[in-house]
Amino acid sequence: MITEILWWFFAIAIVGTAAGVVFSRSVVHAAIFLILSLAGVGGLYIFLTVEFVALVQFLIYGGAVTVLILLALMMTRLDATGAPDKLTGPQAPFGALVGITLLLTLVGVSLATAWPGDVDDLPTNITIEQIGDVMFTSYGAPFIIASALLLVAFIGAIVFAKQEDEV
Amino acid sequence: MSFGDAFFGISWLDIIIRTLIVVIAMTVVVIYLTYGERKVVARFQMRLGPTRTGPAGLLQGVADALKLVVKEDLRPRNADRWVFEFAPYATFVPVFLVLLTLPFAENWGVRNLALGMFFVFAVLGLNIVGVLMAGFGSGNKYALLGGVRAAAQMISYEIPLVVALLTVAMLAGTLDLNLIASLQGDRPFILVQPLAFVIFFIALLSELHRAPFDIPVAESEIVGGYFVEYSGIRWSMFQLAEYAALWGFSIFGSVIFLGGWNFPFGSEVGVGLQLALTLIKSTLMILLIFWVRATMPRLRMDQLMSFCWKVLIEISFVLLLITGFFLYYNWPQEILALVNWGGALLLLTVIFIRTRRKSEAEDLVGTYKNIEVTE
Amino acid sequence: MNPFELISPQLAILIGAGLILVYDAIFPKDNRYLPWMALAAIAVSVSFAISLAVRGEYHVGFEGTYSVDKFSVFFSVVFAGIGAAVVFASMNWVDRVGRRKSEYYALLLTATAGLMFLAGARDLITIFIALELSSIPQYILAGWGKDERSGESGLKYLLLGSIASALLLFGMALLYGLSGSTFVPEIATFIGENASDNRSLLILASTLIIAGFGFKMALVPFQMWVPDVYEGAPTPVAAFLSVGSKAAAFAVVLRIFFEGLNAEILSNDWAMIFAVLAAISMTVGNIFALVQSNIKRMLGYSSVAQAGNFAIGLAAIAVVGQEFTLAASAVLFFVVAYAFTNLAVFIAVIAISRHLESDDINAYEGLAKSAPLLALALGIALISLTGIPPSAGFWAKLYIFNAAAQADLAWLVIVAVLNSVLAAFYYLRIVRLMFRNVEDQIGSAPFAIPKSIGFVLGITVLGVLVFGFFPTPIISVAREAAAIFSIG
Repeated sequence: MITEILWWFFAIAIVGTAAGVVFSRSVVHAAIFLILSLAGVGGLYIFLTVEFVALVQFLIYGGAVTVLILLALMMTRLDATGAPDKLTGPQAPFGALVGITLLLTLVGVSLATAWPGDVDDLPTNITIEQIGDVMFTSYGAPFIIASALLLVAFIGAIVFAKQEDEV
Repeated sequence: MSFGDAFFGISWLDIIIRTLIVVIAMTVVVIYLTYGERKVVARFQMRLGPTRTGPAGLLQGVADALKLVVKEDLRPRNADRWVFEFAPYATFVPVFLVLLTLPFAENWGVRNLALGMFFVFAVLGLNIVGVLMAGFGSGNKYALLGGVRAAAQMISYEIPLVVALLTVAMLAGTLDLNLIASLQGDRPFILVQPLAFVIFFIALLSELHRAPFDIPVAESEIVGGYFVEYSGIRWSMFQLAEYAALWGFSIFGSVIFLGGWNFPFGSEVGVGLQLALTLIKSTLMILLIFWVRATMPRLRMDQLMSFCWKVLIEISFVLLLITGFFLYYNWPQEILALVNWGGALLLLTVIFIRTRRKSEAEDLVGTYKNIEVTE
Repeated sequence: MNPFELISPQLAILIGAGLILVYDAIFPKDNRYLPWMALAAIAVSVSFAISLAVRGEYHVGFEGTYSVDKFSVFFSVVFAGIGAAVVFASMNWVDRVGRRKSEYYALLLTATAGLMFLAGARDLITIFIALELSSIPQYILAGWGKDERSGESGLKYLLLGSIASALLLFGMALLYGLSGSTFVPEIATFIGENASDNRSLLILASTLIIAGFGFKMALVPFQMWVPDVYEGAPTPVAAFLSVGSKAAAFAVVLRIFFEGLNAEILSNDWAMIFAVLAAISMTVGNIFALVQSNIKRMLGYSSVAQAGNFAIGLAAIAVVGQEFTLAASAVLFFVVAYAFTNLAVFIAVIAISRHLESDDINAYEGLAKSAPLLALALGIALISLTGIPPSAGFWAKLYIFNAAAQADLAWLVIVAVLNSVLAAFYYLRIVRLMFRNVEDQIGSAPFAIPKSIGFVLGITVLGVLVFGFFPTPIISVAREAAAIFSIG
């Protein structure tokens, strides 16, 4: 019972803050809403008893990705009052059309699908050791690729951000 | 000990009582930490510090707190209202969450988590959001600068901090803080991984914005940093968060490196003594932090960043690699400790020599090559 | 078998990239050897890949998520070759830009390694992250030049590429949500049993995945980035993305769709999608290519049209059903022929625009007089792109049309043939311009072609001709590589 109430609370919070991301006029507000929304998703992971994933969600999305977004916004837009941006252009109706079509398709398809999984069938209490095992065996290749990927992103950021040295 | 069960037989009441105890303890500790810092630093500078309020100035912290509570809560006109008003809480809540997981004595904390150490990292990351919100919401350039500086610094120093702690977690084989403390009955991890402790300590100074890494709150450069526009109760929330973090991370560090409640008396002694041990060890760490603050001058922003990215991160990764080799091949930990002590002494010596070095003219302009130095 | 041995070709390249960066950090003044280090890494990688194949070490590693089979070795070697060709083609340009050489080569190498990972990935997570490993360096490289055009190109590629990645992930997430696995063979098993109940969702997932990869392949309607990025990006980089990432996308699509989504009830649907996309891509690409005056934009649209030709092969495979090795090998042969041909065109364009300092097609007038060999090479490459014998492009097109005809896709073959005629107009227009006799031509000063460019241009043109006269060996290799799909 209490779990259900909490679930609804989180669900509404996630959707509400996600709407906040889209509709807030200031990019910084949008970024803060994004943090809340992603933290809410982290909360949902706790319901699935995957605390590790929940904490990773907080750490990576709440603490790192969105902070970097905020940081980048503040470095580039020194307009501290967060002057509102114009959200829509002449393409707005087409965007809305695409969005609504996508929404209707997804809802329709989801309803028409016989989803095989049930939440109750999910494995619970996955320990961090199990995650580590899988990470270094089945997902060894993506693990290696991800390390190279991060290095590349890092180099790219430096290449573009570093001011030219006059030789 | 389970308070709720003892009195009412209700389990969630237990949590509430424990949380309340931590809240009260935190408030008292923070009030006396501000007093303690002023006193200690004053002594370093051959002053007396607060003496007037109460015997030896003991009530100074209480008086300050009362003053702050009744002060007017101002909000600049061009502040971003909601961001401005919520920023103190966004800073404080993560710090408070850290306190909830710490084992103050054997199996005594609000909640002991199996992923305790990881939880602390995760929550630490959220702290930055509050700082950025304060910097942005104030609508003040100095605050913005302070916020951006703080965020850049905290993100960077989080890496060596986490990696250094991971080396200990590898030795312990767990992330459970209580379990980590219980493994250190006869040998705290600082003896095995002193280099990790040095890295942890330096990074911690930076995470807490303590001198010599107090660039985000540098009074002489940016007036006071991200909370320059705050006053009254909201400002005191920032102070509360800062000192609570100081306390919380000292306990965290003493649990991981100094043996927490366990070393040197073991788990047989009562909760009281264990609690006292934890507090004494954390006080030692806090005194160390005050000592560094009173001794070292403030770094420059580019020095700070290059120290992190070019020194600390490399060393911590190498340490992680070495620890991994020792564990994988089951090499004796004594040799690991030896390597570690060597590394730690080397790092400290290099830092010491660099701080003694006289500054040269070109150092003063740092990496900003566009500036011409005229003699 | 040690899984690291399976990915040794990729690891060699990644380590080479790391060494280049470290070498540059230690000896910042001495950067003459950087491209040769990159080439050495690629050579080591190829030798690892070939030694895996020669020893017959066909295994799956990492619990089945990565597989070394003839298909992946085939593509690994192709991608390594493309990487090496682009390193050669870049040398002169990078020296002229004269900054951040080590990063340029390191990024080029990591992109190549990402493509090679894609060839063997059998798991959606591995596929996605390998795709990103190949894409992100390309976003960076596209914005490498100093001018505004290049910046625009990099940013456009990054933004649209991110959207494509998001669509792809959405499709993958739907597949995972339905089947409970990211492992392609397991998805295949699940779909084999439950396809009929969940047809609409599977079609949606396939559409999203096709959209995601369609971006990489430059199929219409996901082609809007192509002309701007090709025009703005440095020409060697444009060559890399026109050949490398396109071929990789086709390799992965073969994997996902023919290993994972090949249920009878489903394959006709997405084959139809591919057929329609092929027809539209060829038509739109060719029509727009006709009216371009900038050679790089023209090549951009031409690559859209060529993507349509690839897609014919994909459509044909699915329709034939279980005996689809013919069409699969047609796609593989097309990949090789296209790689040689398109690289030759781009490298020739690099050499020419370096001299003319212009990408305008009209500036090519009378080129045969001042640079006869170069004009001949570009002419041969363009003839191969058109699909006129005796060139590799002819056999590739013939092979793929044959596969389509066998698959009862006669309408598609007719569209494709009509389009080839259309394409001949703009390809041969350049040939005619080059060989027209002009008296007072501006760029009549003798051409100085850098040795590295001349060498790699010679190799690629030779490849076009050799495979044009003797296509049999490469066809048999392609057949063998495609045979891994015949079992499933």
